Amino acid sequence: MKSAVLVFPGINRERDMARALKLASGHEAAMVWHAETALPKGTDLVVVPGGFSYGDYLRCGAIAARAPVMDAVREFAADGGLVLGVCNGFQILCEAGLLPGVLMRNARLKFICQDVHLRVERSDTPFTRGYNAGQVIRVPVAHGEGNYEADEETREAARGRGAGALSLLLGRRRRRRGLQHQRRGAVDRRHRQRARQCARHDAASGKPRRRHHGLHRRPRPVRRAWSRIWKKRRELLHDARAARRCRGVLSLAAPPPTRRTIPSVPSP
Amino acid sequence: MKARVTVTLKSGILDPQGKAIEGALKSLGVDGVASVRQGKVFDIELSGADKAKAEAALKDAADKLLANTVIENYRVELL
Repeated sequence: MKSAVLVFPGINRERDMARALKLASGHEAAMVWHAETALPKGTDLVVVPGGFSYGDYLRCGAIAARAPVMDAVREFAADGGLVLGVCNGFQILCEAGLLPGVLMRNARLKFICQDVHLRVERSDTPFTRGYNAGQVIRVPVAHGEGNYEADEETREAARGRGAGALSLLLGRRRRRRGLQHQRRGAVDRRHRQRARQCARHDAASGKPRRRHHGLHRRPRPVRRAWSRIWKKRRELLHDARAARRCRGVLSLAAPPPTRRTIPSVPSP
Repeated sequence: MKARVTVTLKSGILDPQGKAIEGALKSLGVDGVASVRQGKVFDIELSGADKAKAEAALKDAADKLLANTVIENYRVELL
């Protein structure tokens, strides 16, 4: 599969994207500068990566959406080509009119950077073919303008065309319970178990059980993690044997310098 | 010739920035603020002198770039 990654000034995730595409498809992705008027011949997939194109001036993605290369992308899409927009790329595609609706400032005005759980609603789209419908996947998100807005008619029409392949899972009760189990493995295990339960329920009833679905894992507070490290260090420093054992492994726990006695040379 | 294009959010569109400003004004003790909606103002200098042409050009600019007509309204004024 030949893929092309668009490059705009201010985009910063194009190399990650190229690497991911290389790993997924085995072929080097072509980097296409925004001033180009045509895509490389034989392109199967165009990816608009994330970042802050044109410093997010005017509106996110607004200026990039009017770049010369976008006309070529519009033509490519009209001919049935695959186009994927991630992060700022999603905003660019919305601004360019390739996707309906618009991404607005997050409702709480905060930049959201966390792992979220998505449910694969349909596995019959080219992008979600590798998943099973009903499967829950975890992906990292980071955005300040990720609040998707479109009227109900537009959303319905988009769904009819195959949009809505993934849906965000939020559940306050679940999230609270998740916070009590901050150990990574615990949450993941619970999460997998829950996903299996939901899949079974869905299969039995034919109705998605969205209300109680999903968990959010909050990153462990840095301060607490650090205080734990310092506590460990104190323990280690007080325990000379442990400190010796850890020497070389944990530089924090280097043993106190010992005075070496020089053996006296026997006189002839 | 000078012109001003004002871009505002359509009514009914959630405006969290306006809400935050409204809260800040209230906490500063500014009385009588019922609600705040945030927008953008573009001051544009035009080279021609034809008013009708200028207005058409500005409307075109607003439709194409300055405003996202899905969520925003705009107003063109010739000064």
